[in-house]
Amino acid sequence: MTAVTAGDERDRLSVGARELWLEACEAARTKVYRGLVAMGASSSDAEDALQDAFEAAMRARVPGSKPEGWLFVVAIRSWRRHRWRGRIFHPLQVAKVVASHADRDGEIDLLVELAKLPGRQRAVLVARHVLGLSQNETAIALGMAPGTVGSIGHRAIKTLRERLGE
Amino acid sequence: MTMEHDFDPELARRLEARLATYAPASRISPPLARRSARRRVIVAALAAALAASALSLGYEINASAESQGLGCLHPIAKIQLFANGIADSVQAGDHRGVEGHDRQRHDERDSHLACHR
Repeated sequence: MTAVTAGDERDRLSVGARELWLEACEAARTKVYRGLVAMGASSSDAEDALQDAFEAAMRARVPGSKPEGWLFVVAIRSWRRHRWRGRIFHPLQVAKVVASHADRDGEIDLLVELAKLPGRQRAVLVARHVLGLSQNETAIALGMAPGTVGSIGHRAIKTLRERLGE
Repeated sequence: MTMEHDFDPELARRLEARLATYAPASRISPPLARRSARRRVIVAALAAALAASALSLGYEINASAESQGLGCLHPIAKIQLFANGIADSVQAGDHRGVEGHDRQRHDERDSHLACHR
């Protein structure tokens, strides 16, 4: 009979935790994808950023935060990096995308108005309303104090309502 | 029960409805499939570098022949001449075989003179 060491047991638990973590990431995929679109990413950019976040999830140690929040933050960083690269290497393409967004300015659309909010307000609003994170989970994911999340979220909702004419 | 002032259920419902059209069209491709695109770029870059090297070598061989007044030699002869030049420079100080190379060079020049006759 072979003796099971504490190390083996820890490895088995960590493998199990990793599998659970990856399953939870997979389940959160659609929410995070929609969150990225709500942040202003195009469909293809959102898919690329989500793919990068999944690759990072496979490599990373299992974090303590919720997979939705973790994936969202990693995907947002990846999307921003790609956007900067795009601005440098494909300025004409970026200009075309900006022009297509500008065409929609005439209509009052929830996503258009959301895209006009400052980055932090947008991130908090999307984390709370699209990903369904609680105030504390949002605070952990975005690296803010829960009180800050509350005040930023409140301001974002107020601004959005004003812009939507409500 | 206290109501969180930074959460609006009505807004969440509207966002949900608005974003419902933005579902991923297909399952996200596995990491390896995406890396193949990166590999394609690397292969293309290597192929381009190889082609540029071959082109510059050809130019160098031709320029070397031109500088010796042997511009109208056959390309293979130009390559041989270039290779001999490199061999000579490698064997600098070693006189073995130099006589043979000189003879070969004279033969090539004679054949070159023949094309202007």
